[in-house]
Amino acid sequence: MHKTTGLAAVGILFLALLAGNSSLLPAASDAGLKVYSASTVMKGDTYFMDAQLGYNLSQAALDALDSGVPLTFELEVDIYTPRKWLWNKTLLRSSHRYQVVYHALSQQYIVTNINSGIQNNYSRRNTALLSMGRINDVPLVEQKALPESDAVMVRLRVSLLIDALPSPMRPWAYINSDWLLASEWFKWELK
Amino acid sequence: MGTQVTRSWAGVISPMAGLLLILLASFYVLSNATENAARFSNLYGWMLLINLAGLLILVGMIGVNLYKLVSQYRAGVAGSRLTVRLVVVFVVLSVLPVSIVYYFSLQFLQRGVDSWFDVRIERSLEDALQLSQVSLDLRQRELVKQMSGAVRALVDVSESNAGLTLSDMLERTGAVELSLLGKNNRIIAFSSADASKVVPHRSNEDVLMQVRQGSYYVGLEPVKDTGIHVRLVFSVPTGSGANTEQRILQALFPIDQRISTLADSVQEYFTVYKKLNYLRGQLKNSFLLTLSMVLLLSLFSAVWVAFFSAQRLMAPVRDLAEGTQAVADGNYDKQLPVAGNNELGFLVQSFNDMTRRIGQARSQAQESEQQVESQRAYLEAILGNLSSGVITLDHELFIRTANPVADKILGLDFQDYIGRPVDDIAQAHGPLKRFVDIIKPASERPEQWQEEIILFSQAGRKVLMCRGTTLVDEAGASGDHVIVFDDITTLVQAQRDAAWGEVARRLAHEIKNPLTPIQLSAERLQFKLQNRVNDEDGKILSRSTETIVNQVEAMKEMVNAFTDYARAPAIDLQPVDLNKLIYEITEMYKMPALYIHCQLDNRTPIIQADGTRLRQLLHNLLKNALEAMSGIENRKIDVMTRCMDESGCRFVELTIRDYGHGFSEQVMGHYFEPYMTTKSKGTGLGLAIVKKIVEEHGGMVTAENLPDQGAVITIRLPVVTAKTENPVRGQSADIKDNS
Repeated sequence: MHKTTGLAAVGILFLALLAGNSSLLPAASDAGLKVYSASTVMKGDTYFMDAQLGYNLSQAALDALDSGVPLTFELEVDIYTPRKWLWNKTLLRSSHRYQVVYHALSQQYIVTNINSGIQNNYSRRNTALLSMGRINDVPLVEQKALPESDAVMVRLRVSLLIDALPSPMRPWAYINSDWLLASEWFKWELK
Repeated sequence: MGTQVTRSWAGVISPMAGLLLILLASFYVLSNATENAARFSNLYGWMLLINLAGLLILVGMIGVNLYKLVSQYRAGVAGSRLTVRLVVVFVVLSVLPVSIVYYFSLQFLQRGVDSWFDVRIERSLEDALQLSQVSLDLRQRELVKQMSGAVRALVDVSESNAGLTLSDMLERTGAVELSLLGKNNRIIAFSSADASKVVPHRSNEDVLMQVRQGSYYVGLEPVKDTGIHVRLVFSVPTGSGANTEQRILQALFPIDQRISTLADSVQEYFTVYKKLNYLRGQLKNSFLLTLSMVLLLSLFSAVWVAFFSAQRLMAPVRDLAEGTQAVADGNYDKQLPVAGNNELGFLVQSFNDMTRRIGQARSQAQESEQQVESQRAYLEAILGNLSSGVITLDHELFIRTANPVADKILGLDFQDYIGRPVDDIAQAHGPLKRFVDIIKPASERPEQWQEEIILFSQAGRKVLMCRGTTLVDEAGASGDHVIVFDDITTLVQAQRDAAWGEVARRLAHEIKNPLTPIQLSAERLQFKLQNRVNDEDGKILSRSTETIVNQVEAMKEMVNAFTDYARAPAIDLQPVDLNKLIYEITEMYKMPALYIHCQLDNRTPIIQADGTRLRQLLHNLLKNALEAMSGIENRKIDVMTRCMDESGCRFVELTIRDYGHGFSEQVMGHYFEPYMTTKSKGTGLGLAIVKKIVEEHGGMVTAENLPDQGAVITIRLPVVTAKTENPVRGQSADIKDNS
């Protein structure tokens, strides 16, 4: 799913370039997603991930959120073996999705871990985003699934899922930097 | 009938129809996805990409067609101008209505989307939401009041009794979930109406922090799968002094089912409306995008169809133009592809029939032409092998054709005069003027004509027998003239020779016989009467008798000469050395004031000839030369033999030239006829006998005056036996009597 939407996004980006769309220029604000820190802890035979993410959304995204548009974010985690002359060998790839939506009646921001189904409510938006940025004890991989000799790396990225936005928003989201929200890959050594 | 060529458009239509179908389907999906239909939502990006790619393909195809059309237009290809006009008309006809529809659709779209949103509706929804919140607020206050009293039961309750207390409280208060948290949010006790639940719905940190500061919290909270609940969080002080512990009671209360349903409904519609309101701009843009792409698809399809239709419509016309050009260039085998069962197809079919028939007619014409050519070649072969000369003149007396024999007889090359007036021959060749002067008026005669024409040239006298007629065509109109002529010089000569031979024979027979009695009678008269007459009469008698005898002798000589001429004894062919014979004969003519120069070719072979007859021939020629030089002081005769190299030495040529007065005009052309002499004495049979001897040996003799002085007689004798040359006989000698 992620690959296909990425391809479609590239296609639309290309067409937007043909059309000379100026909205591809970087936004004036410092909006963006960021991985502040990430680490793994082995408990028993399993590696668990802790991470601190920053959801600094653009004004357009915040307006959409306050207007009842659910925003979905995806955490991509790759566990791989780095290679010098070839591309890295991916051992495991996992994805974790979080959704935040505003509930007008209760005036609560509901944050849902789509993978686990756990839902938390927050009366303030910032609290909801901060809460969503705290990643604790996410099981990654069992130790026995990893090669013994080679070094193993983990990389983490968080991004806004444009394909999860309502359809009318997508064409413009694909070509507008306000919506092209994604962090850089954050890498660290697993073992 | 030939095979029919058909034009197939399926190779073009099928892929294009497939592309258009795919684009239409993707537009359907795109349209549904724009309306947020769940089943197509995930395909939205792909559909956009596919449609844009399809549009690009269409643009590319139109570009290729446009480039081809412009190239054809510039190159002036047949039908390209009409194709351009058709394309322009088609495009205008399709673009105009589509553009109008597009404009009004945009208007309707703008107004339609805007009409979804109304301030009053928005206000009503907000009011409904507030109403729901107020309604729920009352419930929350009631619950706060109720739980404020209930919380006292938990003060100083031990952790072991906390569970029972919470269960009791759960039953009494109607809560669905109660949990007691200790220090660091540790769960001391938990009670839930749902026995399967073991973990409470935790409040967030903000709420807990707020409560720990001595306050309480109440609020609505949507719970997954169970709707809106009221959350209450109270601080529960426990212990005293150093053992004081601040506990927190979390309570989750359901709201009335009816109120909950209504509140959820209000929440849902409010959220949808607000979201739609927020998406209004994007929605319009998305519809605009879809509509624009549909418009572009329609436009590009229409333009492509315009190109396709124009080309398909013009293809038979272009084929016809090319076919006509091909026919004009002589290609009658051109067959055009059948354009279908319509008027153009009928036209193309007719063209194919026409070229097929023209091709057949051309084949027949070629066969006829070949036959005519064959007949002409046959006729030319016949004419070329005729012994007669044949020339044809058109009705204006211009030369049309002439056979090779005509060239040979008249001594000119007729090819130089083809297409020219016959008068040009007379102007270029003076001796032929008489020939032209006779055939011109004769050709005007409608009936067949025949004339004997005598021509004089350096080659001598030539007798032609001309016959002519005018060709009449089927309509009866007179046209070309055909003139056939034969060189009958030889025939006439033969007739003359035969006549003279007969004369000689009769002379010999009829005249020679009485001569002897006449001579004897005259001598007897003189003998008998000589003594009976006086002297004077005797003298007269003697003179008369002598005259008679002399004249009889002369007549005898003449008759003998005629006898020799007329006599045709069988020649006795023996090997003869011609040079040696010449040398012997010329030796006999040593006499004063005569110089005989002999130039004899040493390659002259031994010939088969009658030596006696050749000796007579040489005597006659030398005598003739001497007589021709009578009255000239320094007489000179050149005798020359020559082996004819050009004929492979199959002829020996003997030439005797004198430096005398030459032949007179009177005998021109009759040199070798008896009695053709201008000399006062002689029989006039010398050259006639020479010719007779030469002809007996199968040779030929000619005589002509030389331009400067004298005459020359040339004799050609065939070498009957192929003998080798005689190495001893070649010599050059000057014979002269110096005495």
